[in-house]
Formats: sequence, C-alpha cells, structure tokens
Amino acid sequence: MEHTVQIARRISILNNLTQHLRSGHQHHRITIPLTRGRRSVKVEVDGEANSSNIMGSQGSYPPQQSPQGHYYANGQQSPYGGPQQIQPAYQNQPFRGGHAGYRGNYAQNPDRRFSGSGPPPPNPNYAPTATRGRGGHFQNLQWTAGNASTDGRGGGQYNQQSSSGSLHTSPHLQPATGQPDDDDNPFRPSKNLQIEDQSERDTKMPPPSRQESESSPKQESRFSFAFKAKPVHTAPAKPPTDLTQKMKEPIKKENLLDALKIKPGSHPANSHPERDRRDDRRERDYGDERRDRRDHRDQRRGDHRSERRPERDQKRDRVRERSPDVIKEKKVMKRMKQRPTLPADFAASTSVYYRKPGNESVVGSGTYGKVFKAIHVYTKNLAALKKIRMDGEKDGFPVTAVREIKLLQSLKHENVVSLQEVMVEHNDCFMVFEYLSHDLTGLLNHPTFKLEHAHKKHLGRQLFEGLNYLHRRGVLHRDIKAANILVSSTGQLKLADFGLARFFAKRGKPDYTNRVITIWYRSPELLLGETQYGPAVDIWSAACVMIEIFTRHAIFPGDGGEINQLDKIYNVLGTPTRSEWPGLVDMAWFELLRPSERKPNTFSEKYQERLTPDAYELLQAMFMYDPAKRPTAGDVLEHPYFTTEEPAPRQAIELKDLEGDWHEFESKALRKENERKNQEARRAVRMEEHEREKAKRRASGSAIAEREPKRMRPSSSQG
Amino acid sequence: MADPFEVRMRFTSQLQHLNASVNSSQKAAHYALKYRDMDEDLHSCILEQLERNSMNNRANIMYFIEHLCDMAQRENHLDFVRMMQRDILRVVDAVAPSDGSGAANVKVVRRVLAGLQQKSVLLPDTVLEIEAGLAERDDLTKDTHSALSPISPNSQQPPPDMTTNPAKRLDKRQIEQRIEEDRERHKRLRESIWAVGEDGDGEFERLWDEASEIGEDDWGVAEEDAVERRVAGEVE
Repeated sequence: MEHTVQIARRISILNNLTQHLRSGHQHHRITIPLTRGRRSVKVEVDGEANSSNIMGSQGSYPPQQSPQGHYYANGQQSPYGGPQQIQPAYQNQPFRGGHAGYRGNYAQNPDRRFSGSGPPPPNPNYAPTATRGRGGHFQNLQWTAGNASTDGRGGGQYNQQSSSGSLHTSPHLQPATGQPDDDDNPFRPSKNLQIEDQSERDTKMPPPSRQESESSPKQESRFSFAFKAKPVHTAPAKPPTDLTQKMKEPIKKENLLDALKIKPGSHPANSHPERDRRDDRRERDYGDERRDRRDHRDQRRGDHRSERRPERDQKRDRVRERSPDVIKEKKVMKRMKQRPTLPADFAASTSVYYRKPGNESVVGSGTYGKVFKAIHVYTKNLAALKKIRMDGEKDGFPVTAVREIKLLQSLKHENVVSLQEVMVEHNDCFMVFEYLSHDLTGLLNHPTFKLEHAHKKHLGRQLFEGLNYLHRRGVLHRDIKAANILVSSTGQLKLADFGLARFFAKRGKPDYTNRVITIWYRSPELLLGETQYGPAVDIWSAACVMIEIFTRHAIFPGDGGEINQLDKIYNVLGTPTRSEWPGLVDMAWFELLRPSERKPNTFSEKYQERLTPDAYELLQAMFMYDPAKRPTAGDVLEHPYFTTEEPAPRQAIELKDLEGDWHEFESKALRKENERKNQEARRAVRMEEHEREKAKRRASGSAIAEREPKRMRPSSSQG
Repeated sequence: MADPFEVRMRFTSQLQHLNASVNSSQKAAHYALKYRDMDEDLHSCILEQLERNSMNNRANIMYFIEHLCDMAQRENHLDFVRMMQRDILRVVDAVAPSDGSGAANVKVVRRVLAGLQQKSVLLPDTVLEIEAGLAERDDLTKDTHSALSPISPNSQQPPPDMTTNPAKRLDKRQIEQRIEEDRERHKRLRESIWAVGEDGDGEFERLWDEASEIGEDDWGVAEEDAVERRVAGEVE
C-alpha cells in the first residue's frame, strides 16, 4: 500500500510535470520512470484489466539484446535525449533517492502510458517508423538495446535476444522491459500527457498483433505525430545493413500540420464512425495501432496524391485492415458500391465534413475563430468544427490550441463536450466536436420555449456533474458562462470551450494569471488580483449561470471593467468584510479597488422570492466572498436542492420538439434582427409623424413650414 | 560629451514613461550608467520624479530602482547604490506615503525592498525597520476603513473616509492602467517561475511537494482507465 501511495503521487507529479512542460526547455531533462512502483500497483488493480498476463510477465523479461532492427529503432528515437543512461538509476535506487534518475526519464513515461492498449509492435516494422531513428546507430548500439527491448516485447523475440548476449550491455535494459506493463496499470499518467507523447508513442509501440517482422519499408510513416514539432535529427551514421537503410529511406520530414492532419481526423474514424463516437478515448488508446495503419495510408497518400475521391475511400478501407496487403482489395470493391448513394451536394463537397456554403454554417464566432456546423458526408453525423485561427500566429501552431486539444483529449464525461478529432484541411486546422443544437444563452433567450423547474434543476445538476469531473481531474475550466454550456436536443448539458482551461496543482502554491473568465462571471478574488486560486473560481461562475437559468438574466452585468464589475457585485452582495473574508486585505489590488462606501447585502431581497428555499440557500453559499468557504462541485451535488427538494430533476427532453438551433450566435442575430425591425418601425412612425406635421404646417402657414424641415433633420437622421 | 541638461531631460522623460516591462526599466538603467559621471544629477532626478508623478509611475520607478542597483553592482559603479542606500527612506515615503494615498504601493515597496536586500544593497536591519513603519501605516489605513469593518453598533462613528479617502483614490483610468501593469509584471515573473537550477533536486522536490495525496480522485481516474482498458480488450 505504501507503494501505491507513492505511485499515485508520482503520477500526480507527472501531471504536474506536463504542466511545466508547456514552457518547453526542460523536456529533455525530465523523465520519470514509473516502472518499479507501477508493477506493484498493477497487482492490486489487475483484476480489472484483461491483459494481466502481459503485464505480469514483463517484469521478468530477461535483459534483451535486440536484433539489429531494434537498434535502429531506438537508436536515437528519444528526442528528449539520454534517458537510457539514467534509467538504471531508478531501477536500483530507492524512490526518493534517485532523483536524478527521475528527471532524466520523464520523457518516456507518457508513451508508456500510451503503449497501453496497443499491441506491441513488430520491431523491424516499427524501427523505421522512428523518424528520429536515423542517427548514430552504431555508436549507440549498446544503450539502444535498453530501449529496444521495450519495443521488442510483443515480438516474441526475447529468447533470441537474450541469447545474443555478447552485446550484453547495460543494466538499464531491465527497467526498460518493465515498460510494457503500463497498459494495464490504472495509475498510468492520465491522458493529458498524450499529445506530447504521440511522437514517441508511435515510434515505440506498434501493435503486437501484427507480427510480420518483415513488413516492407514502404509502410513506414513519413510523418511523426508530434505536437511539439521537435527538430528531427538525422545523424550521418550509417545503419549496418542494407535492409534497414532502405527502410529508413522514406522517412523524410515531420511537420506539425501534417501531424495534425494525420492524427485524429482522418482514417478509420471516418469509415468507423460509431466506434469513434462511442468512445473517443478508446480510440486514443489504440493510438499506436492506429498509428501504424495510418502510416500505411500516409504512405499511399504520398504516392498517389492525385487520385480522386473514390480512391480516397478505398484507402480508408485499406487502412482499416490489419494486414492491408492481403485483404484490402476486397474491401475496396465493397466501398465502391456504396459510394453512389451520396447526395449531390455531399459528393461535391471537398471536405468529408460538409458545410453549407457561405456563412450559413457558422454557429458561433469569437476571438478564437469561428465554429461551423457540419455534417459528415458518409456517416451523416453532425459535427461542430472549431476553426483554429492561424492568422497572426508568428510562432507556428498556437500553443493555446495545443493546450486545449491536449486537455480535451484527456477528458471523457457525459457532461463535457467530446473532441472527436483534429483535422487539417486546406491549410486550416479544425477541432471536430460532437454537435449540440443549443447553448444555454440561446435557450434562455428563446422567444417562446420555457424551462420548467425540474428541467432547470436537471441542467444545474449536469453542470455541476461536469464541473465536479473537471475539478477531480485537476482541470480548471476558467471560462464557465452560459454561452459555453451546450445543451443537446434531448436536454443533455455539456461544458464546452476549453480555450482557457488548464491543469491545476491540487496541492502547493499555484500561480496563474488572473485574466481569465468572462468578466461578468469572474469571482471577486480574481477581480482583486489573486493569482493563487483554485476550483472555487469555477464555482462562482457556475453560480452566476445558475442565476441565469432561474431568472434568464445575468446577475452581475458590468460594463467590462474591473471596477464596475466589483461595484455590480457589491450592489447585490454588499461590500465584503474582513470577518467574512479574512484574506481580503491580502488581495493584490485590494487597496487599489477598495470600495468607497459600505453597501448592504441585497441578495435576499432580490432573489429569495424568485428561488426555492433550498436553491436560494445553495446559491448564497456559492456566492461567498471567501473562496475557501464556497462549496466544491461535489458539495453542491449533495445539497438538498438537488437531492431532496421537490421537484426532482427531470431531463428536458421536450427540447427535441424545439425548432431550429439556439445558440448565443443565433439569439444575438435574432436580437439584432429585432432591433433592426424595431428601429425601422420607429423610423416609419417618425416619418409618418413628420409628414403629418408637415401637412399640418403647410395648412397653418408657409413661414413656419419653411423653417421646420431644418429643425427636423437631426431627429430623422437619428433613425 | 553630452550636454548635462539634455541628459537630465532625457532621463526624466524616461522615468516618466516607465511601464511594467522589464525592458523599459533596463533601458533607463542603461542610460543612467552610460552617463555615470553625472550620477548625482541623475539620482536627484529619480527622487524628484518619485515625488512628482502618479502613484502608478512611482511604483514603476520603484521597480526601476531595483534594476538600477542591480546593474550598477554588475558594472561596479557603486555610487548609485550608495546614494540609494542613503535615500531609501525618502524613496519609500514617496512611493507609499504615510497619508495612505499610496496604500496600493505598499506591496510594491515590500517586494522591491526584499529584492534589494537579497542583492545586499540594503542591510537586513534597514529593511526590518522600514517594514515596521509600513506595517504601522497599513494598520492605520485598514482600521479607518469603514467599509471593511464588520457591522457593529460602534461603527457608526463619523465617516472618516469621506474626508481622506475619496480625494486620495486614484482615478479609474489609473486603476485600470495599474491592473494591466501588474498583470504584465506577473506574466514576466511567471516566465521564470518554473525554472530550477541545473543540478540538485530542486525540480524533484518541487514536484514532490506539489503532488497531492492519493485520494478518491485518483481512484476515479484509475477506474476510468480500467474501463477504457476493458473496452479496448473487447475490441481486440
């Protein structure tokens, strides 16, 4: 058990590390080996995992000397450098003692995690995949072995390898072998590590099922999926055999966009939509395997770029196949028959996600870019495409988008919007989400539809279920507001827009920017300059949203400035006192933004009547000035308002009868349209009056009539 | 040889236009060191500007002083440092006046003093002494603030704030500017906040400290992963 604790801590350390990694430099130094501790954990949790045998045996693999293929594969594969030397360190050292070791190894962790579900790869095949595998094979032979063994696990080559003992190199081999068991370890680092690892992952973990060790060099990927766009080293050293040399030939470049293109979007997902949708995560786990197929596809794509659509289709099918070489032809034929069923507009679509032309398909827009409603031409499933704005990005792919993608990939919850894939198309990058017909702003502003109380409670509960999940996962959303909360046509609620979200440290002293959250929803501590904040900021925002659900109006609609925003809050909740919020005077801008007069709390006066007693009590608790006193999302869910007070929550399935899609975007458009109409109507009335007056004046006397028009001009031009 | 008058004018203008960026502070410090032969003149410029400008600007000059001392030490021109040691009380009084008008600057003063002490520009004793004075002022202003004291029958005293506070309050634009500047400074600070030394266990220790105890959350995650694996197994 001791161990377990340690391990868990380590994992969170890993999580923290990923945060740190954002800022770059350090990657190459940090490597935390999980091998040892993990194994022991595994024992405890194994029951849940099916593949325990794989894991179980790993620990005992003999140190392996990999066959040549391996060397290449691993030779230089780690862009992070030097994990090999370091690994031994922790193998032998007590957990805490071996710091140096941990640090060095961090980079490898993530892929271990990924390696998870993927079957181990045939080595040779995989070796070339390692884009980076090119350099200095010779020199590195020996250490490489250590890594190589990792890869070799699936290949059943252990014996062979160990017998080649002449090369017997270093002790680190063993720790490396431990890696494969990560798949089943429930404690492996969470998915937030994913993106960063991808590149490594694919180099390292090809699926086990494909054991044809002599797959052709052609299949090697020329892409390496790396969000980080690490520089690829191609060292001059010559590989020892011709074969390997050949294999490496196709590896050319890696480039961020390519990587993105390949990764989530594309391939089998398209032909396999149900699976995709059902469980995005699972697919992720298969990453390595998919990766391989992808590689084939990429290869092909590279070869026949010019081919037209049908061909593309075939490719997709082939990609799906385990052993593409054998079966793919058959599949191709099948697809060819299906194709004609495509409607004309879909067939003409240049994208697999068909969007209505022009601005018709836009369902949202903001600083981040635009969101389009799209339909998948083959599956007919709706999707929301969030276009990542690339203009004005000097430093390549925006790091904020990378962060958002990384976060979203690590999340899976029914109340959190799911990212299905990331797609690159015509030089634009899109995040593909499931489509939900409404958002809260749109719904609450709907001209006729009204939510019943049970519906409101159900929405509220889902909101806090989602938040609770995020906070437990160590994620701050930092932009909770009605417009970012989507509602499906069956009344299911999902949190969306993770553009400002980040992982947070559950312990220790955080220090984050306070320029987060749309200002109306921003909590007083943020407004007062706090940079060490936690999940309580989301609770405040959520409380604002709850008020909106009940009253259809924002509770603190300020003018966009901090000062005014605080005034709005003070007007409702009164000015804070030191006794109710001891930390108040330590706020960075407390002196700067000090209220000039004391105001009484008018919350009860304003809202008690409009809320049920329990709802009122709950909201009052969430609107505590002292963030430490606000309930957590978990507390909120256990509040009597949700658990006992009538009416019980009921899903708003009535939404399915609602015509059209209602987002903030549409409701804004509607409002504008209404304003325009009103204005026109007003103008018409004015014009009429004007005419009438004119006529009157004409009747009463010519002298006045001449002067009048001049006087009238200003008012008519206003319209 | 530059015209002393012109140097003075330029330096004054630089001080007046300091902003939250490290860059602007360093530029001014560079300038001061470039004309180090006029150091006394320039030092008097600093004092003059400190007593003349807005509270925001005074805060920026305070941060600048830290850069100036730092750079002067590096270039081994200790006159600037010596003069600053001599006049530090005057500086503090200007940045965070005792009448409470610069209450928002107290935190700035504390931070810079700590920095100066660390660079051994100031003796720990001096800093302690100044600290004590600041704390006194702090208490004073806090106590007089009626809006913050808990509601009690006694608090119906004559409103002391009406006379002192509103006049001293910065105007809205200045407050907003200050907020932005603080954010900018914070951003710069955060750029290096994660850095640890090349060797030693600093990084590990830090992560170790940040890691939370194992708890329900971790089991939740583990469970989730287990489900995932199970599903994965089925597909195989």
